[in-house]
Amino acid sequence: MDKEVIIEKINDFLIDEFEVEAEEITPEANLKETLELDSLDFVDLVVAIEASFGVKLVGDDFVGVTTLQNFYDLIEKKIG
Amino acid sequence: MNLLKEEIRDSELIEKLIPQKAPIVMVDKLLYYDESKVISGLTISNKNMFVEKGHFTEPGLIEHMAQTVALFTGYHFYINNKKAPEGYIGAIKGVTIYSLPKIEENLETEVVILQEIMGVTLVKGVTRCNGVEICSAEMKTVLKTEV
Repeated sequence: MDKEVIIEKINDFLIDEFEVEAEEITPEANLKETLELDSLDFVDLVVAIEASFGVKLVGDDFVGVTTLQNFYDLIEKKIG
Repeated sequence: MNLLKEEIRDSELIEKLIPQKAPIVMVDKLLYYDESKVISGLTISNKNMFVEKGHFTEPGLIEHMAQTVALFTGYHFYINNKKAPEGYIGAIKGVTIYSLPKIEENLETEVVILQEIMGVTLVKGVTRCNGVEICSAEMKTVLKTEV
């Protein structure tokens, strides 16, 4: 899957399901602080990723993932 | 496949499997357990703190469902020789309650684990009374982290 498609899908559900403002979505945005995703949101994020991309994330996958760019890269790698 | 050799109906053992203590114990049976599903039971006693005017009330149904998740986690820890961890209800959505059970009626709650990550468990639960669905909800529970 093309990385641009991955990014678009992730951004779409961040806006639609997590009520993140579109203008806040930048590659440098911090998932927890800027996007205000808390630990309860992460489980929804995992469900959304599984539904959209068919990959299952586990807790260890999030080690080192702080920005949205890190998250895009993680999903690209998992799909890879 | 049910991983229980037999149903657990001993209230003392049930209380060892969950962190809650009387009078806030809202499960009294473990009927089914596998890696992604659990079924608990509860007979509504007239002494139950969530009983009002002969009916088990809405908070009781939610607590019963939450403790079913606790039972799932607690049994998992128990078979691994660990103490049941404390946890909290983190979020609830899509709660539908069709009717309230009466004293002496038996509840069976089936909880399916949809996702578990970073100490947060996302579940979908259905409670039945005499085989009839009376409550359903999606719930996130959070394990207490040791400081």
